[in-house]
Amino acid sequence: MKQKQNVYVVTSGKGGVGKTTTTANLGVALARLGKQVALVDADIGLRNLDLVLGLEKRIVYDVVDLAEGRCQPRQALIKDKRLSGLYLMPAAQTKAKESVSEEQMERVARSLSSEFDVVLIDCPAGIEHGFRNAIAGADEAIVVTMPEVAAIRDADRILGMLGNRRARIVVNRVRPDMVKSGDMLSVDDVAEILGREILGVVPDDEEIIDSTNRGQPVALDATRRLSGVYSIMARRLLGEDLAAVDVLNDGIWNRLRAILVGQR
Amino acid sequence: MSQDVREQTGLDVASSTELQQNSALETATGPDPSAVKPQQSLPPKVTGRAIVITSGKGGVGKTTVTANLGTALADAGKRVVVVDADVGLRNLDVVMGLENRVRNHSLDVIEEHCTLDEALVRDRMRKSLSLLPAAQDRDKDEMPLDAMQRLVQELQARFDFVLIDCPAGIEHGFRNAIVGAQEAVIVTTPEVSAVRDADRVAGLLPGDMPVKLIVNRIRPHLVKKGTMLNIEDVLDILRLDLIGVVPDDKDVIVATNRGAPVVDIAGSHTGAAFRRIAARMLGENVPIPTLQDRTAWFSRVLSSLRFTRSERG
Amino acid sequence: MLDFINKFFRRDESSKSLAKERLRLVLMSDRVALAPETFDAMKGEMLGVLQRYLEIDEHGLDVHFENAERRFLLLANIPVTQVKTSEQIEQERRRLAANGNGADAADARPPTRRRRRRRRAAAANGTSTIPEGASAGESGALHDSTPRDENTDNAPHGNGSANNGTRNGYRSHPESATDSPGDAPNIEET
Repeated sequence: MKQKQNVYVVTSGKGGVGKTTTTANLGVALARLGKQVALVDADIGLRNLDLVLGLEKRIVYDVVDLAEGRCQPRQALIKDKRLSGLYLMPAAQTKAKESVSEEQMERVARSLSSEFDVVLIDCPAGIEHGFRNAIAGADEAIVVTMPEVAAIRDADRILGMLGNRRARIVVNRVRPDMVKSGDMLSVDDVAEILGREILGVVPDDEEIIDSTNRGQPVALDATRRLSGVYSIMARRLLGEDLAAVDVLNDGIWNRLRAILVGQR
Repeated sequence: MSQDVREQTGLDVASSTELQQNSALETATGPDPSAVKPQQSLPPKVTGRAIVITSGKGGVGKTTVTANLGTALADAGKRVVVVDADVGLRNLDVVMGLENRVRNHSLDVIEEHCTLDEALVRDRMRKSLSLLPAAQDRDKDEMPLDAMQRLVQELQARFDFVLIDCPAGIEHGFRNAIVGAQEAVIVTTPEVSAVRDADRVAGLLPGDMPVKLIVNRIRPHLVKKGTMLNIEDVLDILRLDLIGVVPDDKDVIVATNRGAPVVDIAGSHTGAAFRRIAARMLGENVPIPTLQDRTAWFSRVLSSLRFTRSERG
Repeated sequence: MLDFINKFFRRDESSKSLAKERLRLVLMSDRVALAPETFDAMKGEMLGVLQRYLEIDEHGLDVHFENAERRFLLLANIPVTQVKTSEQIEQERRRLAANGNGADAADARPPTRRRRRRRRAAAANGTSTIPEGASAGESGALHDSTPRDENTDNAPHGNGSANNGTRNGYRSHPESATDSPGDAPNIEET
């Protein structure tokens, strides 16, 4: 049986650009579109995907338990009660990243791949063992970056470490006011520098802080502006021919839309 | 750095812009490393202080803190080296605007392809500030722990302050960054994931290592709204000694764009906060301001106009 | 110092365009550092091209990137020991035209004595498909023997003659007779 190409690693190189937030919200958006989604936290020792999703109190088994054969796959998966079709496989908090091998992570990813429509792996920051584990089972990469020098530099580095995998960019925490005043690189600039297709553009929004505080990803709430952004991202991931940003109606974004359509 | 610049941009500003509810404006005293606060244990004067700047969570501002603290300490007359320990994902060079001057890196020194002097990059504006870059084309596990420790010791013999910029995470790169350090500064933001990771990291540091906390990127208006944790909340969870609070500011992005330190941006609250932290590290008794909404703070600054000259920076 | 001040205090240039420019340069530097094999391949090919026109002292060769303030430069110090004659250049050109890309790739590696012997052996065995003219050029280019040059220059039929001077030069060299028995048709014609 042919393998599904549905395992995505969400990575960045630079820490703090929004990998976990993107994984959580993209996962929620995909589930809301009716897909069966598995989210895997590969940040062993510094887990946060559980916190962002608000599922931290329900962890019994984690990915290390599964890798070491102490439980069945279904036991390590936490079903999100707010949605049908969203599952989390948490990281271990007390272990070191070296406690899981790349082969083990790859097996976990592939077994989830056959059970689910989409698998998103939340990658740790950096390019060490944890990173290599996270990409081991991935078919494609989603590289999250910000329009900022250090973040883009690290994203470029990461792009060179993904082998032949397709990689698309999410430009996160964009501030239209600063882009306009010339104090922040534009999405066009980022796309040009990195030379890859843009999967999504997410504006900077204070609502993220609140949603993380509460463990309620913004994508759950259709009334929030950001929820529309993640919904578009999810649909593009599933192959829909849709412009990346419809939400922000601005001169800059209209030009961006033209470029994005051209990129496909 | 000349004496008058130190007076304009250093400690005088730090203490004069302190706006406690009831305190009179303090007069700054010059930096005096021998004036030690009881809980700080400074090593003997023969060697410099080796301090690792760490966090666990990425993106909370370790590199910005390292660069700006280094700059502020250099302005206070100290010889400072900032060490980039993020092999493979270096950024301290770019944040300091020295990326075009990097020729060798720490692994070159350890593998004896060059001397330490050949790897050190002098800052453009401050002669007592240097950078030891990391390699970009190597892996973190190529740096042996004992070699890093010896390298830091060698730096301590030449500099008053060795600030080590730690990579994100808790893997080999982290272990490498802390191995030569005698003190640690943990940087966190008032957000749940960052605080959680800071707690984890605090637990991984040697038990006898003095640890201080910086809370970075605080947004007073969100704290007021109740959306963001306040300092007391963070300290309640982490129970660490606080050495500074730094406000969130888009100045930092602009500064990184230009490759200049934010302490040099006139009127920057973030820059002023870094100078205060540097002063505290030198033993100064600089109180931490309570967080007001920025507009209220600003109007208070304007109403006590004595030090606008120094604000210009 | 002036550069730094300019960079920092320039008001007409937005900080983001500064950022973009710096990023562009730093990425070039990063990418080059990360691909040593690619760099070596490039250096090899450069050398190959130059060696069609010049004889180069490879031991003194220095090619490296330099990260200047606002530019990223490829700098090369290339000691030249001999400038090739137009015959030699012409031989090379024809040989390469006949060979296509294969010859370029072969050229990319610095020639060694062993490789030259291999080529001559291959030509002698008739295993090479290089036409006689091309072999002549090859031998002429790789061989550092001055006698060869003299032969070519002094060939009775001359270089400027309607005949192919190089072919005559090739024929007059004792080695050439053994090198390409398989090339008989062309030689017999002249």
